[in-house]
Amino acid sequence: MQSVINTVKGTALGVAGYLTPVLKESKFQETGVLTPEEFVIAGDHLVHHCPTWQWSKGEEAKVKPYLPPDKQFLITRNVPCYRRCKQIEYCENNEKVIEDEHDEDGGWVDTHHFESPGSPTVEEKSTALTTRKERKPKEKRQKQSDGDEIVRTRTYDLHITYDKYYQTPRLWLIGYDEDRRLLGAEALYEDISAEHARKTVTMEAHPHLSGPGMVSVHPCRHAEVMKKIIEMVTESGGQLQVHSYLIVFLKFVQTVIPTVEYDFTQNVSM
Amino acid sequence: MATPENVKDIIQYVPFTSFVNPSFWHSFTDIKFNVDKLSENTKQIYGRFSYANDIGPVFEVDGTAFNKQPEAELMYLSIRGTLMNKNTIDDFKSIDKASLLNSIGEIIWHNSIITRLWMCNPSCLLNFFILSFADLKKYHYYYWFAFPTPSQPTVFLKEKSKSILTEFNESEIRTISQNYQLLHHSQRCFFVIRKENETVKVETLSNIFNRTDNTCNLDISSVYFAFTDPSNNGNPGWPLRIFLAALLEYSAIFHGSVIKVIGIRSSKEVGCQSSQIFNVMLPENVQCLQKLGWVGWERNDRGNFGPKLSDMSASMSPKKLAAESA
Repeated sequence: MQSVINTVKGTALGVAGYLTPVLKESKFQETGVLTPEEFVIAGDHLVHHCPTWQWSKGEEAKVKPYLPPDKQFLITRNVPCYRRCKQIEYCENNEKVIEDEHDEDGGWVDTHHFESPGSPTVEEKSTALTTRKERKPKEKRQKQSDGDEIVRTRTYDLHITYDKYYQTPRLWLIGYDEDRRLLGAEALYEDISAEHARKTVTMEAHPHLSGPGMVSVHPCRHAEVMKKIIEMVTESGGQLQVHSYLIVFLKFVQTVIPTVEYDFTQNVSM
Repeated sequence: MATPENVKDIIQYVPFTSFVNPSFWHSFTDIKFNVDKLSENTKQIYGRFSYANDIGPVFEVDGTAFNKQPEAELMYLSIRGTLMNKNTIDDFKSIDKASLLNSIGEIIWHNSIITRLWMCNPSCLLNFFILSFADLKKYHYYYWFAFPTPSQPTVFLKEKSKSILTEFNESEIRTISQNYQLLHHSQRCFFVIRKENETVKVETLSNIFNRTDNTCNLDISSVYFAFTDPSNNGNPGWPLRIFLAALLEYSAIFHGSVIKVIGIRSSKEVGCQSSQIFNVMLPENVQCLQKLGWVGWERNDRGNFGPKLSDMSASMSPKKLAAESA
């Protein structure tokens, strides 16, 4: 049902986006939204610090006038995704009390106890706001007869476009299977955390490419989340600059696609 | 497809596998309805392949194929190609595929190889061709890719291909990676790597060949011929084939010689360290290559020479879309 609502809403907002004037003045600090110019600044910063990202032009027929022709949206290709979301989801059976004493602290809980030795483990990295998962190839292709050692896995192309209606960046996902065929929506939802699939993540038309609806993280809450982060940073005495917007953005959308291992190693300096 | 084990194995080039993004058919359908209509003129389009070693020899087209300017993407090379769409399935089936490919080959031969245009613009050697029929009532798209290349000469590997690490150290490989990125996109398909007194240089073909000079004085043992390689196993990718033909056509110094070839392959973390070195034995007797015919039609999913089909009705048919959104 939620997806139907989103589809209808998506179409209506397409019209609304067409009618919404382009944001001219910066409202970043107050509301967490971006002007197209700020989107370009933040995009340039992302490309500079994470060179796997680059600007793209998209289809020439769909170039948006409020963005520079060669900087229409951001793209990173062939991001590996070794595991499905349900493999890393919280699972009660996996929590095993390993100490039984009835002391006041209660028993230690082994939260990372897995039945089979091949199961994934979660590894904490020092990156702020995120945990990166151990690379564990689960999807070895069976028919590797030619001795190549490349582990084939699902890959994703990620796009970040500027959403004119919500005045925020918007993340798109295009998935490929181990044989580089496009993933259908159902297969793709396996890589989206259960609480977001079909709610925050919807199928819609890509603003710069023709074709069937593509999977995107719905931007309706982005500005709100961003505003909270700005407030948090300000409270702790720092200031979040507009050029780090996309780096912060990528960190918070990672909760939606926890197994897609796109490249960002930068800590946000706050 | 195993890596050659005995010496003097015939080179088996790894063919491209085509991949058509749905946005290609959506864009094409727009153009067909609004611009081309019944016209069967061929269209110039762009496609791309990656030399990243985790992708394999996939040749990809999408909605941006119809752009006037190709995009310069990281880890990808854009290639110019031709789309020939037929209005009826009968035309699509009855067209003589072999002579069609030969006639495309002849154009490449005359425009790019005989004129030696490839020395200043190496990307003109690489071409692709799509023959298609669009059933716009059912949203079925039949298509057949070709990557034209001369069927001859037959060349051999002197020994099993080996990693670039066997002849270059890490800092030299870093130099190659960096200088490769500095090459203009049109120069990246084919170029030359030279190693002199511990310094490594990446040079364009026009630096070592003189287009107007018929006497080639190059010491071919002193250079590595390099190409951007979509393959990720022990065999070289498809683009090498036409490069060798062009070298043999250019000068007799290549006849019966052994040349060192580097297939540039890349991975995200370490630059072009996964590149491969091939020692290629070129034949002595080279007949006029052009007369020997051109090959390059892609095999379909069943391994036969035949067209592929994209059924786009799920995302294009108004009936289905209406049913789904209800």
